[in-house]
Amino acid sequence: MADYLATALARQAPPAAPWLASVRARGAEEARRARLPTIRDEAWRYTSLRPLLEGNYTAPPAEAGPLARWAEAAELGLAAGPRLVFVNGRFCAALSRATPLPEGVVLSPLSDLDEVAGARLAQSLGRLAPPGERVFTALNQWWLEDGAVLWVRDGLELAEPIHLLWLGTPQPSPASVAQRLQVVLGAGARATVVEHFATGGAGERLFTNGVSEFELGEGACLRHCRVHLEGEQALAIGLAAARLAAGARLEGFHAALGGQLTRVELHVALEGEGASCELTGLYLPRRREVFDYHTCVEHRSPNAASEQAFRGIAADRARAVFNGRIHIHPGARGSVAHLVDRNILGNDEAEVDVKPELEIYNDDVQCSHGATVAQWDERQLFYLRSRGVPEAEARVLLGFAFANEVLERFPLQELRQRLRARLLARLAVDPQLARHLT
Amino acid sequence: MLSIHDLEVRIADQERPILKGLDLEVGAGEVHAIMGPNGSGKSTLGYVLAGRDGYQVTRGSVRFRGRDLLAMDVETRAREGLFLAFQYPVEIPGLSNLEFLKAAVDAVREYRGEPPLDSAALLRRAREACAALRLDPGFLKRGVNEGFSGGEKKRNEILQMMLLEPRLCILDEIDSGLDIDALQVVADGVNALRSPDRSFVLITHYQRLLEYVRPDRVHVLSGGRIVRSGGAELALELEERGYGWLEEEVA
Amino acid sequence: MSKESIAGLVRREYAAGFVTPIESDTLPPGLNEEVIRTISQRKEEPDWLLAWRLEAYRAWLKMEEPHWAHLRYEPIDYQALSYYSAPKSLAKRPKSLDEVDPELLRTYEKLGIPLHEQAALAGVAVDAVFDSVSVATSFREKLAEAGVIFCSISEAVREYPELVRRYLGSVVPPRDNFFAALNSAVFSDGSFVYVPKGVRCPMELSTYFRINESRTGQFERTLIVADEGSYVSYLEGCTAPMRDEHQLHAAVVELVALPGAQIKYSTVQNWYPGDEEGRGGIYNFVTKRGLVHDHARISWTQVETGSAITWKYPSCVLKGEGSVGEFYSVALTNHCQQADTGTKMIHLGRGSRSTIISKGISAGRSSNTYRGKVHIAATAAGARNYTQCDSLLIGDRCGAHTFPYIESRNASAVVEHEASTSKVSDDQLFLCRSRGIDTEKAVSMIVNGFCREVFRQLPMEFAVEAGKLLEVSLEGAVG
Repeated sequence: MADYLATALARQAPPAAPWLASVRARGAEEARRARLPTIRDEAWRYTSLRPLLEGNYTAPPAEAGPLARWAEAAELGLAAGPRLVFVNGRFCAALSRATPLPEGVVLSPLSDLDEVAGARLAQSLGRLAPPGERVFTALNQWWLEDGAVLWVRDGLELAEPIHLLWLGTPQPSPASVAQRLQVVLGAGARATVVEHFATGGAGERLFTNGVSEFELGEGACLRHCRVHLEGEQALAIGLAAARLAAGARLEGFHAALGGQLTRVELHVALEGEGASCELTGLYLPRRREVFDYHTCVEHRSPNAASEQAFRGIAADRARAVFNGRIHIHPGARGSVAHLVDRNILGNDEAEVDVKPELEIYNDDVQCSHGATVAQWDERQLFYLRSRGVPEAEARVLLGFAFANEVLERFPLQELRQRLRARLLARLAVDPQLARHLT
Repeated sequence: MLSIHDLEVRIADQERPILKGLDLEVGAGEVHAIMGPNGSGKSTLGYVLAGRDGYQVTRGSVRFRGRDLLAMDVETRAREGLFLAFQYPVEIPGLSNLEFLKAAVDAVREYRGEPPLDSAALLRRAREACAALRLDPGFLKRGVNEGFSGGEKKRNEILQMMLLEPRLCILDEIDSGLDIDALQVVADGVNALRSPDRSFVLITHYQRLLEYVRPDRVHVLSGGRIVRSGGAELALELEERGYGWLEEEVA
Repeated sequence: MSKESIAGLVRREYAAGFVTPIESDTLPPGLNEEVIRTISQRKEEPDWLLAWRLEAYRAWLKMEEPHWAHLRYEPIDYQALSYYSAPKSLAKRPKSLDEVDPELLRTYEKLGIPLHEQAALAGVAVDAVFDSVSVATSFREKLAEAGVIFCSISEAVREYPELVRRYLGSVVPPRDNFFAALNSAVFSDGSFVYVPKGVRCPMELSTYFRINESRTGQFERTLIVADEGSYVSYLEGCTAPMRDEHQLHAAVVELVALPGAQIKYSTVQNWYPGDEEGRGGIYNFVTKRGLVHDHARISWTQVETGSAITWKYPSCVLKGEGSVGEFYSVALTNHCQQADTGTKMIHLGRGSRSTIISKGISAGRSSNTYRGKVHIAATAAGARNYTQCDSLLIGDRCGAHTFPYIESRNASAVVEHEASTSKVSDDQLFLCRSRGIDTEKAVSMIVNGFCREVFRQLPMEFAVEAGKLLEVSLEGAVG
């Protein structure tokens, strides 16, 4: 364990602008004080970090190889809007797409920020994700080379979605990279951001350690999609922390449809009165994958509302973990908070672990959570079979139906299409079984 | 078409049989009505014929088009041409009606050695059926039975029946929960499908349906057995006198 | 309602808060091997049991006090407690009630638990435990006729050593957790029940625990074995005097339901909860667990209104095929009380089933947490669990928390969990008040309704008691 952190800290940082160097130094300082969590830590009781300990993770080589080969695999099909592509954590202009943006919008890789903007970022970075609170946040800062910022001035509305692709390429030896995003929406501003995690080709393990921060001004609205479509070599541990001022709204859409270990922590602070958030998610681990969603929605002011709806299907020898927390602070009267997590355990060798939590310090609330872990619905299965559908196909149809109810809520038609294809590939080992759904 | 001999059925783990030696012969092209009080085993009969789990056949035989029906699994029965319209159609949110129909129609056609319908052809047929059943075509895009009204669910059963072109249609209380207009639509759908090589078994509590779909034979199921059979006039008699007198007669 | 009347209600005293003036033989504070040897010696125990205690003690020394629960309290000084206290008059072991110190008998009468059989509640046999020892056990002859053994565990060690040795620690091993290890080392008294094969125990069995002496801990140990196809219903009650200091109560209860047996275990816990400022009150750290064999059933029902701190998770290990576990709980916290309570249902057997119904009510500045685990092992094909946890908050300074853990490793199992948190509905209150019912009464009626599902599980006479207890405990909560 100590070895992992020691290695992580021993890494030589490449030269950087002074503002970035200060961010890194802070990360290193906090990481030195921290330790890696183990399954004895409550937040990690179902998810082992063993894959991180089995290998000597270093920074990926600067040369990523023939990009065109992987770019196609990473295509999300979003026809319109700007796209920033980061290859192994570094901005790649060749694969990115610039489109004109209104004045008052900054969309930029960290590596392109000038000193002024850099200084502005250095001041605010980590405000929602303090490096002292979480070892991976500290390491993220220490490894930080690049990342993205989106700053939108008050009242502006971005019509087109912003596509951020975090692409990993085959590694000659185990590597780890930092992924970073900061979104600041001014009062009344609106935007849609798609964070897309993908890997191309086979190789050694690639660990992506991500931190995203979303600061939403009064009445601002952010639609945030985060999809993990990585390959089997990918380890992804990421935190997305959001803070919402009065009347602001966050709509989060999450899908985990690939990756050896995918751990996503979503921390939403409903800071201002009447703020609201909706978190929707889907996770389908198979083979020996582990997908783990940890959510925490904090109601810190009166009359805030939150809805969380997650679904998972664990197949083969996979493990699905969901920990969903609702925290109502004293004084947050009029809070409405609901959470539902439903799971299908497809196989006796798979495992589902669910922990919905309510922590409530105010009486004027309406809160609930519900969780189920079950099998295929026998009545539905019979209904399909009684219409002549073979049992194996019926299971695929029902698995799809179960997941699709969540998927249908996702924004952006192209994104839904892409996820649907990926979903079907996961559900049907034999593609014939999904032929009526494509 | 269908030949049931001395059928005894229990619900798994229960001592007392629900069907106690039931006999029924349904010829090609015939419409039979099975009537009876609540709890007489009407729905059990439909489920057993369709092959639902949880029922145990302890005696007797069922032949369907000359073959042992009970030896077939659920989907094979459907592909052989047996169709059960459910009393309570099952909701499958997230799966569209059209996707569901495609999967079913393909499976049945493939079994019959017919070429698959391409999507456009299937959609055309489905739309025609929708029109016949006075359903909005948008209906096909909604989740299977999801949030459908009682009448829509029943009409959806008939829609599936129209597309699957079964040989034997067992309609379990297709009339329950329908208002007069909806009943008329459903009955028209059934009548349109009547043909010399297709048979119907209408399971119903009330005579009302039989005013719209005229049966060749009416059977009264009581205490797990057919206690009386007759022509369409028997239904009228039941309407007038209820089921009590028959039960007494049998006892 | 007016400020004055609220204040009046708050001042109303905990009815069981008196002290019995009696001479006690109390060990000086502190814990070491010598203390354990002394306890064992006083109880004239066999060598194997002393060895068992010492082993538990040595294990305990290496363990750490758990702090994962949602509880805050000052560190417990285990050397400041006395681990054994008994009324001097009981030193000679009275053979019948006539030989028992009348002061002790009066104590139980005052608590509503008369020990004389002619005065006792019809159909309820009582084992009365006072500090570290059992005072008396009623209706023993009648139970003996049915072959049922009901006595204090100290007596069982002497009279039925083979049974005790076979089952003691078989469900809660001495090293199970910090408090169980401590209990195993120093346990004083508690009840022992054995119901033979096929016997339906002819009466309700009950143990009444009373802490009297100050600066003592109570470490009772209860063991209930229901042999194949038998049935027993058991109820425990508990109270303690009002004192400014915190007192430790760390019990262990083990239940064994052999194939086809059924055990109903009900608790009405009314330890002194401390005053409205959080002074005094019992620290209640309890380990309760049942082992459920094939087609057997264990039902835990608890009404928790007392104690400053409650740390308690009555659990079922559903080892047998078709075994059934149930947990019905009402936990009410007021003033500065803190409760972290729930259950564990560990499904190992095929077709095992469990139901969890938990009702939490928090008032004042209290904190009330449901914590539960449902574990479906890969072996538990067809297992079923249904859990419902509802919390009610009264006032905006209390907390209500729900932390369920759901772990499934069998694809044919179905686990369903639902939880809700809300306040007493304004509509309900308005309806009651518009019919002339005052707020305090209305709240207590609504709370009673909220708990009905659990009260229904209690033996009739206790259900009524539980309702009243709730009403008293809620006093001062509404204003």
